[in-house]
Amino acid sequence: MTLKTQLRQRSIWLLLLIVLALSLSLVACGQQVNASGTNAPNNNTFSQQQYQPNQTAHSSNANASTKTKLQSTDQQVQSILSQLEGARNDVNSSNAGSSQDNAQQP
Amino acid sequence: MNLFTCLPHIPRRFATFAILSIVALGILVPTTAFAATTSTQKCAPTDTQCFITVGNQFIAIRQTALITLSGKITTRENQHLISSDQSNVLQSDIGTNQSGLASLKSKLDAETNPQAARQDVVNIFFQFRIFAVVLPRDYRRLYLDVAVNVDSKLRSLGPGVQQAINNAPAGEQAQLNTLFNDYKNQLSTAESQFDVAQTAFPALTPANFNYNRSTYQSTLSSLDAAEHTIHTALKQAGSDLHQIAQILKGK
Repeated sequence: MTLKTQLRQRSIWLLLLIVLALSLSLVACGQQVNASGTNAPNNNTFSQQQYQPNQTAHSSNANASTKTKLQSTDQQVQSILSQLEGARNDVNSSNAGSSQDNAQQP
Repeated sequence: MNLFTCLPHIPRRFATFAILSIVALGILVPTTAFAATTSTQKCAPTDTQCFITVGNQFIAIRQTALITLSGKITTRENQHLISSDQSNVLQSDIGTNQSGLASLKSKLDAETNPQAARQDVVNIFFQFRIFAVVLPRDYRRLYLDVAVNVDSKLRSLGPGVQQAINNAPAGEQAQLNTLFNDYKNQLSTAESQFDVAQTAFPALTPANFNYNRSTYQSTLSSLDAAEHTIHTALKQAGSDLHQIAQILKGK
């Protein structure tokens, strides 16, 4: 095996290592982008319409209506709870950034 | 021809290009990813312009963070999760800090004495404490405002949920009432912490952070504990409501 062939083989291995490192970098970047994307605010709003009980709801139709309203209300509540979670995440992010005031001054 | 017999024929230029690319990435990625944290450079004691440049970088980073907070407050207000009054309190605090930083920037830009310029830079940290105090405090206040309104909305649903439970088959009443009682208890738990949390904010100041750190930290810990309790309770109440809705939906 000539010196030239050996050098060529080594450069091929080096090239494979570089491709592997680049792939890992891209994967890491992709994960970071995905992680930051999860903090996007949810624009669903909580309806101002409040759930009103039907005082004469004794018929099956009234029961069905009550259940339907409760399902809708449940969806709205789960939506605002996810927004509450977003506000909580903002608090955690502010904690993470607080060390910037401890940076070394010039 | 398999892969390994092909590999030696890859042009050497490509290998060189790949090596140069990885070296370039190695330089570029750290400088961009940590741009905000590596801006601290040492200035010579007599280099006024250096202090001004570095100080302006510090101010710009803080102004950007305040703008981000302001945007999040606006978003929460648009989502009807906080009232305009609650929003105004927070926006006012942001405005105070923004104008204070702007004034300090004007003063810094006009400095001709290096000691004075350096003191201005120190004041960016010492007087304002944007990252250490203002942002953590205001984000917590924003969270509490949202939580108070979420609790109020969940509380207002109680009569309707009770009505739905009353209309449910007798065989489901016990399970539904257990969930509904827990729902009400969780809301009461959250509400018991609102005052605890509210009373913490006046003590979370840059002055206390600078001169009375133990008081500051204990107050912050109390606030965090209260908000943790509130968050856990509201989530559990939401879970109870969801289970009630699922049980009723199944029939």
